Amino acid sequence: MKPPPFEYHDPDTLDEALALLAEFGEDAKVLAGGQSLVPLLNFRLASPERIIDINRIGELSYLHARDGRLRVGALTRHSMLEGSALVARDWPLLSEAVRWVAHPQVRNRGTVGGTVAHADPSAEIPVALVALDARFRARSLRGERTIEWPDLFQGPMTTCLEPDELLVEVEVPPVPAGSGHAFTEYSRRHGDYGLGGAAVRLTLDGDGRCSDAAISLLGAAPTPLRADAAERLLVGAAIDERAAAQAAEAATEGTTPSGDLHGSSAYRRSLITVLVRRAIVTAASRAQENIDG
Amino acid sequence: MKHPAALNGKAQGSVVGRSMRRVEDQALLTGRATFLDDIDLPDVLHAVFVRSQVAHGTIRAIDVDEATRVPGVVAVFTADDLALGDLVTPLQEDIFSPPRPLLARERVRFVGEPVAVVVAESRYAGEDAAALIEVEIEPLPVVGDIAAALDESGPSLHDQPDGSGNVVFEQQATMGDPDAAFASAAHVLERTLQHPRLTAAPMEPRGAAAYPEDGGVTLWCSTQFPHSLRRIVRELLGIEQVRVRCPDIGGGFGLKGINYPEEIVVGRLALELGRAVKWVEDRAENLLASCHAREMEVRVRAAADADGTLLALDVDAICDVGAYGTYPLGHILEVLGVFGMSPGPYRVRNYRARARSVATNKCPSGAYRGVGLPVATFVHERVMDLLAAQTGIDRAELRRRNMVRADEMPYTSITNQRYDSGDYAAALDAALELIGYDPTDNGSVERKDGRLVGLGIASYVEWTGTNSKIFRTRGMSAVNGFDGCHMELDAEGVLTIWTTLPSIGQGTTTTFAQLAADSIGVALHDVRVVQSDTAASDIDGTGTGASRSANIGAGALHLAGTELRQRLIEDAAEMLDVAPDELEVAESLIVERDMPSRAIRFAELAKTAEPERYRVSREFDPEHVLYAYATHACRVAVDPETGDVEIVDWVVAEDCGRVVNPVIVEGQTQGAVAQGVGGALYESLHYDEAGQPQTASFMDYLLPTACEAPSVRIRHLELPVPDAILGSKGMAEGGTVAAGAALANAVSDALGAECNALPLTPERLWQCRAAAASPPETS
Amino acid sequence: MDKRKVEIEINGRVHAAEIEPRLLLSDFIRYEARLTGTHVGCEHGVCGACTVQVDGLPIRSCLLFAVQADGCEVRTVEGMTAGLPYGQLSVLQQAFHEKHALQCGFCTPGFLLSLEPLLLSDVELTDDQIRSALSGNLCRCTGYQNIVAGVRLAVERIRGDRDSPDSEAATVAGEPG
Repeated sequence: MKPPPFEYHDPDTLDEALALLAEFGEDAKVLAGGQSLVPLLNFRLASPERIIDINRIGELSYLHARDGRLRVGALTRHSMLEGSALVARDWPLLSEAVRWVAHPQVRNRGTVGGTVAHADPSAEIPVALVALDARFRARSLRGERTIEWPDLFQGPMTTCLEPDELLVEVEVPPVPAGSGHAFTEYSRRHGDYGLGGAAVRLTLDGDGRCSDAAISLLGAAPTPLRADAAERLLVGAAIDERAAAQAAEAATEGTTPSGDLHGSSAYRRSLITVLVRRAIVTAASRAQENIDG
Repeated sequence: MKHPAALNGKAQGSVVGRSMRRVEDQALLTGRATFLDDIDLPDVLHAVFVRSQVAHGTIRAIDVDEATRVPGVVAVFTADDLALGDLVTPLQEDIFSPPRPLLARERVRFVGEPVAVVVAESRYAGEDAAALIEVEIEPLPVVGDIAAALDESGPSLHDQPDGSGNVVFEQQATMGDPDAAFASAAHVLERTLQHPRLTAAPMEPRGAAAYPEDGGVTLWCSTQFPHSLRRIVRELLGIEQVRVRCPDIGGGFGLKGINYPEEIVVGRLALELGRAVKWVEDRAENLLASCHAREMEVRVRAAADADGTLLALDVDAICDVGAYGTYPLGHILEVLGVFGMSPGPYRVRNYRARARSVATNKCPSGAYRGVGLPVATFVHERVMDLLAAQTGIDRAELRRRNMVRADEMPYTSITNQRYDSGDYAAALDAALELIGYDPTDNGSVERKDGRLVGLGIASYVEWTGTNSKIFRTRGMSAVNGFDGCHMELDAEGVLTIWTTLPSIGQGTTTTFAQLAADSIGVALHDVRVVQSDTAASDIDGTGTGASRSANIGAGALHLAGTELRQRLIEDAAEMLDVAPDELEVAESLIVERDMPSRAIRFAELAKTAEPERYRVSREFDPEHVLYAYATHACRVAVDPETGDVEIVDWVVAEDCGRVVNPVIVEGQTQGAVAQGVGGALYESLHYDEAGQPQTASFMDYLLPTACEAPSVRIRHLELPVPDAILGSKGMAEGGTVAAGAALANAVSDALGAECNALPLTPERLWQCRAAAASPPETS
Repeated sequence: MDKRKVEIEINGRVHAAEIEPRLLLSDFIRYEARLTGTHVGCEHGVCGACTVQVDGLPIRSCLLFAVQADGCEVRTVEGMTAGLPYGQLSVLQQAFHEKHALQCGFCTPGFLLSLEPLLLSDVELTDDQIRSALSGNLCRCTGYQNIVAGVRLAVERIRGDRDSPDSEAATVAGEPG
């Protein structure tokens, strides 16, 4: 299938891009990695009047830590995240999550900003970022604003970004010492969107009890879902199979995942419960390793 | 007619039997092959088909005005513009053959049915125009599945003369006395099995390109059946001068063994516009509107005595064949496969079978690797495991007890299948040995990681190389049943070979050369096997498919080659003034046995011969269909909490007689198993109640990747094949025939629960496991 | 829709054209540059048959507009034998040939371009890792087993070459076919 016609803009700077968005935002789609957008165009499921290709804006591609916080430019490719020793060492949950994103060819083009702005509830990076309490920076001609993750993700494929705004940065706070992580997903085939998944970060105190927990669910809700009740259950507890199972039940309590021919809502809910439980066990054991090691 | 046993063995110095590397690889690896869309056609126009978005309805109007005004658009055609007749597959007189309009006229019957065609300077412009064409359709109630098709209060898709609604084919038969057998049997079981709708999905989608030539039309087509395409194009376009040429073909698997309305329309467009016109389908069209397969529900009853001997089988199979039949094979083939082959490799003397094809508002269904045999095998292999469970007899032993024995060959089955040769139990035993089968190891074994391990066996026998006699009995007069080979030796000593069996990736460019080297004594580097072309000679044929190449294709080649060799020897004998039996042939050289310095090269003979002397055509129509067979066995680990299936081991013990090229044969088996695994675990096509396709992309129709396909260990049994012209049976469909059964058996074993519906999706297994915890019920 | 002038270097040769922005790179390669070795299997970004390398990275050419590749270096399958004597194959191609890692060949160029970077890395490759690396490319003919074997053989040859004393410039160009 061939894409429909569109007007094409490829600004070289962020200011140019923002000016274009200010003028045409309503009728334009931003093109970053294109791994989600171009198939839609090829299928003619989307027919934007304009495409604003931001791939030439070099200033949006960076990955570094400042004051202990990870700062990722929106145009940073998944493969860059995957290959980063810094991320592997200090934000291993993100490192593990990115390896679940599709396939190497897709990761060579797909961007962190792109997957966040696309906001597919089954996408791995947003789920991991939510578990890490990430926040996001968006810019427009009107200025810049920082958006916390609960405000950003509004629904399936929907964020709070205005038509004239561009996501420019993802910022991730440091992970507490004594933490372990796990990102897990189950899909029909290797590399497919998950039928369900979980991102878990657990922090243990000196007695091996959980002092802090973050659990984020993939595919359980219209957006990545933090499982507050489950997190509260874990805090103060020694993490064994039973505690993990109880927390997992609490995590999916009341959720109604969107079902389709690859998995009904009931199946997905059961699946996610299993995956959360397993992820908690893995994260706890890794946290213990980090403490011992 | 029996053939000399010597041909069954590996003669010394034989080229056949060697794992020679493929001559076709160089071009394919360097990107220099020529697939349909690669053909250089100056000034070519692009055809884009407009397809119905409604599953069932009456066409009220088609508005093409806006479309014709799109820049780059040359013309737009509807059915009225082309005024072409319908595509009708010839079948036996008493079998209804649904006429299929090339472009829908008056009525649409499935989402994706071609309704109009745009011809433009580029595919992009063509799609822009297609998007502007308004097709006004008044919807009719949708016949969405088998139940709806059988419901006589609903609409009929076609006007059958005898008013049979949507049942477009029915055949029933009773052999022996099944009722008595069921009444007296120690064990009786009854189940309903379900097989999903699949599609072959070759990596290269369909395509055709035509241009006026020689007062008629030349049609390049990515097709497995070029001669059949030529016939139907001649018939429907009303012209005699039609040439069909095959380019390199990127996979077919039966899907390209169907001749399509689009291909015929492209031929017509070229003539209408006086220019080259090309159509290359995209993947959405391929999944929506080419050819589906295998959607069946089968109710089976089996009766056995106390020691597990099968007493009777009763099979009622319904196949959802979609909106139309498929040309030239029709809509009866798949269900006839179940009808004829449900007994499988077992001795069954009391049999009742009913086979029905029903029409629904879905894409037409036809041939896909294995055709009806995957479902037949699913039926008899599930029965075997279920009987084993019911009788308490080991499942391998139960099979062994019921298998037709080698000393009974040739064995005519209850459904008149003449199993020509083979030792089914030997294949079973070999597979069991390969996988390390332990009879005491029954039922699910839990591993440390909580997963359940199970083992599944699937034995089958398959027909290969269907001859003209069989096609005639089925009334399929558009299928020749024989195949042909034409060869020419030129003055440089190069032997060019054409056959009526296009290469679709299965390596015949190499294997046919190996056969030629042995049959004729020509040096391999002097042989060029070129892609099928109906103008190459007068030979006619069937095409590639139904595992014909190694027997029928090879047979035609052998006959032509033997004749050529004889002529070369005769002429050499005359030139050397010796008797023909004093000569030997090898490496394109004819040598006097007792005085090797006296020799003549093929090239020398060719330089002085009459033009027609070294041009030979032969057709081959085997007297007997040959039955290849195998046993597959697999081990799986199932995660009961997620329903995930991991294939831990897969073995195949197969017998296709003499193996022409072991590496190529093994490659076919590995590929077929992967496709079979796809159909058993990942693939299925779905429509909603409104007849809207739900799986029209590779995001939803899930082909196995390298992570899902198993590694396969293969053992060949090369038993003699007395009825084969060269000792070889066909092969290559086995993996798809056996995989569903093997996996259903393995997963059932692992879960301790019955899995009688494919695909074995995670959710299905999760449900299956949950059901096993509650009171048992038959599915 | 205004056309754009682009210059795209493919296998070392610059192709200049004036094109619609919506023209996919896969179509540019096949129709403008007339290099038909890169094949189109789906245009959904799933099958990988269209994989080429852009500035050294394997990407799906059906998901990139040609205008986005303006000024970039593209490598297609035809470039793999550039500089080799006629008839000779690169190490990876030769290994595919020897291991019968192709049947119809339609998916093969996509596999070759996807796999090249893997050969030059130092990563220890188990069969599982090889299969993972292959999972973005679909093959319907081979069942992948021989493709895995082909990759193994190529890796052995390249790394063996690289580690041996007199192999100063290991490239993916290989031995005689």
